[in-house]
Amino acid sequence: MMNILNQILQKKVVKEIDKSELISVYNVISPVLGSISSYMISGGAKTLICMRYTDIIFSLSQFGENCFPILGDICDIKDITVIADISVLPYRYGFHGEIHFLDDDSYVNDDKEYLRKYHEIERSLK
Amino acid sequence: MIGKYNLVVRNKRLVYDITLERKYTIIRGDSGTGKTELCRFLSQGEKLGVQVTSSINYVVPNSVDAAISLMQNRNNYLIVLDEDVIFQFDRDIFIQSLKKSNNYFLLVTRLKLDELPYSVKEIYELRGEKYNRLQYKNEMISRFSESI
Repeated sequence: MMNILNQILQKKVVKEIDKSELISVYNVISPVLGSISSYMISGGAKTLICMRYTDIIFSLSQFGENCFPILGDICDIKDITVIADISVLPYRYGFHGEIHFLDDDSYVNDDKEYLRKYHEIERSLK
Repeated sequence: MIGKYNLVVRNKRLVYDITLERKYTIIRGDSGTGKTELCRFLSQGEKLGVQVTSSINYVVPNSVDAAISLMQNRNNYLIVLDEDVIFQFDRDIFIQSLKKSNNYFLLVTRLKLDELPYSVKEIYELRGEKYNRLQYKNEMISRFSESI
């Protein structure tokens, strides 16, 4: 855990998502809550960090829209898999990269295509 | 729901000001805006040095069993459900329990709940801004009212 939390990406996640500063493994300084424990960072920030270092499949509903730029940064490093359980606009909120729908092996590069494909697959599953 | 209910949660640094108008109120929005923190403040209250002023009795169950029991045994309470608890529910049981219950619900989740008869006007996000020199104020801003 110590090695994981000291990386640049983690500092960036805490800075950009929670607007806080990661001081040490156990300590985060939040402008609103003051000094807090690192287990109290937001669910979106925790999920991004877990996603970078594990192959666990998370669902999209765990991410706020402000997580999409960093999700794009992680995609530059490795391929990630998520369950698309909510309808979102990833590219509008700063996601960069290509989205591969495993259901029908298709690729999309913008929100319009993404939503069309998402609803098409959702209808076929009902 | 008859009339409106107000819920004000306040500590040294943070103020939440919430108005509830219907049976189902949903909070979603960006990560790190204080949704889970609100649930924690409501459930642990005085232990965290938080002062809660509410015109309705409220409970914050932290497990599925507790939530189901409260939904069945309480009347006219506000039941606050964080996404951690909602994720643990079987979806059909969750929807049926909410529909049968005679309580009000503050749901913190980004999930689509198409089966529930909630109004788009009651979907909010928390938006914080500096309230005074020492405190931030977190208010509920309707996500869709402007486009209606």
